[in-house]
Amino acid sequence: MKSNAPEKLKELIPPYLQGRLSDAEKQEFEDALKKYPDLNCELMEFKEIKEIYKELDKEIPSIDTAIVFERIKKNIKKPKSIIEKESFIEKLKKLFRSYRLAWGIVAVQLMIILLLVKIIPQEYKYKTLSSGIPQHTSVIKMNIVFKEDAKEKDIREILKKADVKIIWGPSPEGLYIIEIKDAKKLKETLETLKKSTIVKFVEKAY
Amino acid sequence: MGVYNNESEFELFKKVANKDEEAFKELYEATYKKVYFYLYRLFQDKNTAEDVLVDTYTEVWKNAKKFRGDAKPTSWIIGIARNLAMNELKNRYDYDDIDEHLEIPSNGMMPNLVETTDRKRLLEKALSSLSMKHREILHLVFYQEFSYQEISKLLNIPINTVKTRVFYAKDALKKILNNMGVKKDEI
Repeated sequence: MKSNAPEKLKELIPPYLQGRLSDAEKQEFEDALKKYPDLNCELMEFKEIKEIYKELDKEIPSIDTAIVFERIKKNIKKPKSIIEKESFIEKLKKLFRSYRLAWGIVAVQLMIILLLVKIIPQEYKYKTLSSGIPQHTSVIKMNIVFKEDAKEKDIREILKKADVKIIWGPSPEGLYIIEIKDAKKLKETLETLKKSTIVKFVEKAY
Repeated sequence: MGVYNNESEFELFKKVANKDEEAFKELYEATYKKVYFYLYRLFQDKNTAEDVLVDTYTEVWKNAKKFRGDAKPTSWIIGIARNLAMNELKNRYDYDDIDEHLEIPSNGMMPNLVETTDRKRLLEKALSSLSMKHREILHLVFYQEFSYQEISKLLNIPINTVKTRVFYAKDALKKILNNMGVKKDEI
């Protein structure tokens, strides 16, 4: 007598109890039952559980089938629009209870930000007084340092008046590099900036 | 209630797809018990099972045309019932991990032998102490008498998982009964 039945044989227990095995399979299984005591044991346990189910299913509380069917009929006779409206509300309720909503909001916010960045005209974009490393261009550059108590509003005004643009800065010492597109205006621009009370130092950069 | 075989259920489905209310009533009468029992075993609550049963047959009426006949009509209806039941559970547990919930015994504790006086109540308590997954698979095997393949299709899991789950469920129930002090010959 062997000790353990192969798993493949054990898997046949439920279909055996359901009467799903072919005659040949059934015969093979019944022969194996004689060979493997553990298979027999498993079969007994399954049989016992089947009995439990048989017995307990009688205990399931019955329902009034006519009333239930009336409820179903009421549902299927509902005008389509009402059903759709309800399901839309239900969908909304579910959405607001869903964790997916949080990701949805994040996605919508991201889309709004991207859209705004894309569609807002350049002139409305917020600019700071700082800039990155200057590109190597043919424009004329100047080094400029503003006084420590210079207000940002005044700095913007003077830069606008002189028609210059910050292309780099500020350095830890407060140095900015600005550019003038029109080389002919260099002298005039320098004068304007030097006259300003908020400019500490300004010279052409080389 | 008449006795229907799969063939006559197929015929009924065709009629239901063409919005034949009489056929729908016949189909309901032929199949509701199996569907209701399945739902009752899932929820262990008559009212919830009844509510989901109503929704299930409402969906059957609306979607009868989609029934392709590649499964038993009852299996198809139970498939709808299962989807609705899972939605109900998701709503109830506020989108917590439903799989995690399915692992937890429905009464949340081991049955107490002292509280349980008669045998049927004891066995009922043992069943409700099983996780929903285990309760469901045992019901599908022992009450619905579904094949491994049918269960695999219904639960959308591989056949080997079905086989393993059946054995785990059986062992879990055996363990619960042992803990309750129910001996083999008392079953």
